[in-house]
Amino acid sequence: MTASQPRSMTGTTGETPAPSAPGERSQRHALDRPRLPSCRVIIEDSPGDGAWNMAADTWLLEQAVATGAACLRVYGWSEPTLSLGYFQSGETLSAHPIFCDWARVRRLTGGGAILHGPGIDLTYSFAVPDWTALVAASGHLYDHVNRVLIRELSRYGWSLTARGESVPVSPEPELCFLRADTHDLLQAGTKVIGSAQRRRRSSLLQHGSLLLRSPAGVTELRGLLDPVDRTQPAGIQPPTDEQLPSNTALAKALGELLAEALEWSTWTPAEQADIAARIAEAKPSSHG
Amino acid sequence: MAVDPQQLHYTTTHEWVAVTPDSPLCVTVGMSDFAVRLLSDLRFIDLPPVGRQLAAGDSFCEIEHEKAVSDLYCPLSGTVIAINQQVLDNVDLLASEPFGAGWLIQLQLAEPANLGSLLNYAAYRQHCSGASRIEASEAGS
Repeated sequence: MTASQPRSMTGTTGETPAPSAPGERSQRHALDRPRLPSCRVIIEDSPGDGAWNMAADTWLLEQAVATGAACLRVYGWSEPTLSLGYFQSGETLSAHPIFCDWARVRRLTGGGAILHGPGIDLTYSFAVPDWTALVAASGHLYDHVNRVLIRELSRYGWSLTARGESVPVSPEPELCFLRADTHDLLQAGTKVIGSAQRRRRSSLLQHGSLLLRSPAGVTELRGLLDPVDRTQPAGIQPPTDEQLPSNTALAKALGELLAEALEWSTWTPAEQADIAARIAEAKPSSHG
Repeated sequence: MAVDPQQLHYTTTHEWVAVTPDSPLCVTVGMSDFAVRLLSDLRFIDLPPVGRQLAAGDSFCEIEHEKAVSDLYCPLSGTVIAINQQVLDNVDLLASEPFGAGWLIQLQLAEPANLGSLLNYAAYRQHCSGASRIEASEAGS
């Protein structure tokens, strides 16, 4: 096992309060500057496909630019999907024996390809209208969010650490979780959380993905819930979803990092229709 | 090409404009050294195709740095008549020579540039150094 036994039986969608982490009060993590007055929070009722998830995030960024609205999403993926970094071709992944058949979508954000899917990962995103009002440098948002994730996962026995340095690999792997960036979060020496950003004018969208389980046959990756030793004797159970904060708890923690007040909501029918229309209108392009 | 930074016109989002001396309807656009310094780990850049019409304020360039993709915005309205292929091939040129080999695009304007909407060198430097939130300016933001 990569973690101690859970101190709570909270499921990924449960509402049971998370156990307190030792020294929690002293671990309050603040931004460089005062938080936003408020932030909308959306937890998707059901996982979406790649087109929906990325169109929704694009919509949030555009709303931040146009209206100054901040919003945080926590969501899942309905099918195995590769999200490519904005500038990635994904060419070598096309020849991969497993990923060649996966759905694909292009993120607005940079970085490498990320594996998504039911049970594979958990994704968050947030859009803020003026990142300079929150942090002195946009890269600091990676660090602030990482500290919150470390704290929240520590409640369940995980001991994530920031890599703290970039380690270039040549040729650079296509998969995000095989790259080594200073902002990565590691569990037992393996990257389990990656993040990336998109900036438009003063607004910013940040994505982050927690790799839960590596897909079957993908031996080069190890998710948070995968056993450290794949050859360990039968009978030793790997960690389970019960060793994760709920989506609600995660959203609350991230939201409270960003804003004084959280406005929990769902998509309105008009918003859903707007996003769906954008998906329908989308045309293939080199930088989808 | 190389331009004198003190002779350029700037936007508050750190693009610079050089008017071609003998052809006032032709301008070259690049990114300032100030902005470039804030962009660590430049990775990729994308420029618009020649012939694209751009309005002032349109995104014309996307740059990936430190896993973030940022947009640059067109200072003036015009048609793209040239792009810097060398920068596309080697984005480090932008970091090393932002006022020279790292230029980005050339525009053909429909009418003489309204440079009054842009900052001169002194005003731009003041914008960079005097801004209370100087990091606001991380390029392309």
